[in-house]
Amino acid sequence: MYVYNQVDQQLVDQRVEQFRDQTSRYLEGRLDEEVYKQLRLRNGLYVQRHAPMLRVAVPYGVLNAQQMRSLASIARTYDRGYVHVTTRQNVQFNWPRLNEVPEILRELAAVQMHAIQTSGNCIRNVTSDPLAGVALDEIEDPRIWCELIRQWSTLHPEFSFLPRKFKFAVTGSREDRVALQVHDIGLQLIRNELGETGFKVTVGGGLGRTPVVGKIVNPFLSRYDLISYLEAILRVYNLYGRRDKLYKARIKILVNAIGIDQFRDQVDSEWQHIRESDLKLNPLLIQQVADSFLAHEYKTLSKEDESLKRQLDTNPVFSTWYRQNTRNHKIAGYRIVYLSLKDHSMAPGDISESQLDAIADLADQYSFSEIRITYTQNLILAQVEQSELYQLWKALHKQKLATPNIATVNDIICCPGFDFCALANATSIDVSEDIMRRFDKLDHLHGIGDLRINISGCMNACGHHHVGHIGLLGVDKKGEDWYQITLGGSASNHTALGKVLGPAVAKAHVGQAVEDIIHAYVQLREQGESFLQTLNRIGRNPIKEKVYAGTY
Amino acid sequence: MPVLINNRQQIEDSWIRLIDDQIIEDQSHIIVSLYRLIRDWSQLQLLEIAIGVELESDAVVEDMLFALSEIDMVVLHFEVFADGRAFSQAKLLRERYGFSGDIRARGDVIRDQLAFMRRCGFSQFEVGDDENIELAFLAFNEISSAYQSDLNRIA
Ligand code: SF4
Repeated sequence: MYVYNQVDQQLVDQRVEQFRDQTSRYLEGRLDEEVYKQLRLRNGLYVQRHAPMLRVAVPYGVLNAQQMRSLASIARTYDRGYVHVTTRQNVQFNWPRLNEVPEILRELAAVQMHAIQTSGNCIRNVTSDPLAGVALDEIEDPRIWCELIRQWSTLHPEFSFLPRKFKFAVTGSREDRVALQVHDIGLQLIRNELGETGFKVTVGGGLGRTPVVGKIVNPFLSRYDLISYLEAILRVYNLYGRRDKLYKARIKILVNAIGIDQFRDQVDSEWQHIRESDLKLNPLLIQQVADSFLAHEYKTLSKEDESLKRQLDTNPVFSTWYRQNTRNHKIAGYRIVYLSLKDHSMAPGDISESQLDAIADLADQYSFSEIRITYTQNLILAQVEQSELYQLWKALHKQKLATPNIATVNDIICCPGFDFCALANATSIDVSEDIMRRFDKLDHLHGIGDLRINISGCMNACGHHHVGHIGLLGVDKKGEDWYQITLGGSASNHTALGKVLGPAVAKAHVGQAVEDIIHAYVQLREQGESFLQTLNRIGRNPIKEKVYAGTY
Repeated sequence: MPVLINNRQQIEDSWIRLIDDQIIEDQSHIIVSLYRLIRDWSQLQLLEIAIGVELESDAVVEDMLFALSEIDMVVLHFEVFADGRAFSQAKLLRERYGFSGDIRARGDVIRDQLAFMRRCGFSQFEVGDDENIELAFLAFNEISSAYQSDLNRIA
């Protein structure tokens, strides 16, 4: 966990006061509506269907227990008792009052949190591997680099009014757990032949109206050149990205228009001017940032734990949870524990204030006071001693956070949709509930294996429907909610965009259609085949026939 | 009429903006468009007066490098405040091309961008006359530290 120094704290405090002043000027009629809109967006404040929405940054998805308690307290005091976690590892308050937002921000600043650049056409909060530092397949911990990017991009004087929003994802692992290739810039730490680590840089990925998989702009960028290279990309984008139409303004449109090779040349020619400037990182600075992270004091534990073994053998509910919701940790005797936010009692990704407090306590007790947020809208306690898993499971069970459905059909990624979002064509939360109810039987669920469903309420694609194995997109047909179904998307190392299955389906039938798709897969799969493997082998048509055999 | 300020005080504006075919009479400080600068440079460079150039946001800074050493001021025009290209233009002029004259922000110049502008190299600002000038000066120091210079300083 990164700990603020005096400069970090002062900057966040001053931004709160600046925002307070901007808000009061607006409320007193001294600040133009359009100007205030741009300013508030750059501090995470949207105006939605019913109320403002405040998006709070969780840099690279890591929180501590104290921050969690502060979120709980804000949810109780200023909101309706819950928060929502997003696919970009941030949290959202859906019901704050505009005039109280400065106070909320002040409380956040007191626990080293903020809402800086969580929306608006600027460099957004950086996302990263939720298993950073604990994953078995990690080459290097990405969080130091995330923090350097956070600092470089925060209130950047040149890049705060870009053509459009700009999103980074960073990973240090072989397996992609952050949807790297659908970000404006994806940075993957890799090792070259000399054994040095550097970054494979992809650019121009993104979903929304024009979904694009990112392209490699630099196959190996030296770590010391990270900031100068990013500055070069951003300068090219700031100067030459389109500004005439909102939906043509993302960097992916620029990259596609001139081609990745010409784009690379342009970046390189900009870069050569600044590569050896004071933007070059040096080992001292990198070390300073690294030293600002609290280190965990791991114990030396044995690999096997007798009591755990006994509990797994005797308690099938516990052992299902263990199998489905925990993962190997790189240090012997520890495990990574997922907390499922996909229980029907709540909308996907929502957490109540009492759950927040309970999780904070559990993090203190079992996981070095640290909590992670995942791209898939769940939480993680990343370092739990094996011998304590049973106790933790019981506590999570009580909080309805132990539903054993991580990476199953019911681990649905879902945007807030029509219930909250002013841009929505259709609802998304009730559709996800319907699907979850259908696949409720756990044995059923596990027989299906890894299958990801993503739901977006409109083509802005906040639910990343293009990269769902099954994607649902809300469309408006004469004032009714219909859903377009795509199959075959993936946000993994082999990122792919799903293809449309057939005509859109009415809300009353969409749950059945998803069930039909999955039944078709179960019938048609060969031994051990995943959904995507079956789909790749047989194509969409056999599934399509079964789905549209009835008439929707 | 906008009011001209630097980061500390209101200043007098001795510059006259000329439209492209307007005749140069006895002005001592003129601002011309990039188009006119290129078109008329052979005559302009002979004049014993101060010359400023105004760039639109879609202008390429490199197009005026041929004259930069003899130019006294560059005006960067914000047609709408949310178009941030002028920030990069200013940065390039100052950092890469070593321009040391004034860089002025004109057009949709809002108080809440003044600090960013200054950090990118702007030195003069035409702010709306409805802006409270005394409060505008405070905008330069609302955030007193910056990561970007930190990166610069430590490295
Ligand atoms: S995908 Fe559309 S409906 Fe869903 S949150 Fe985004 S903008 Fe709103």
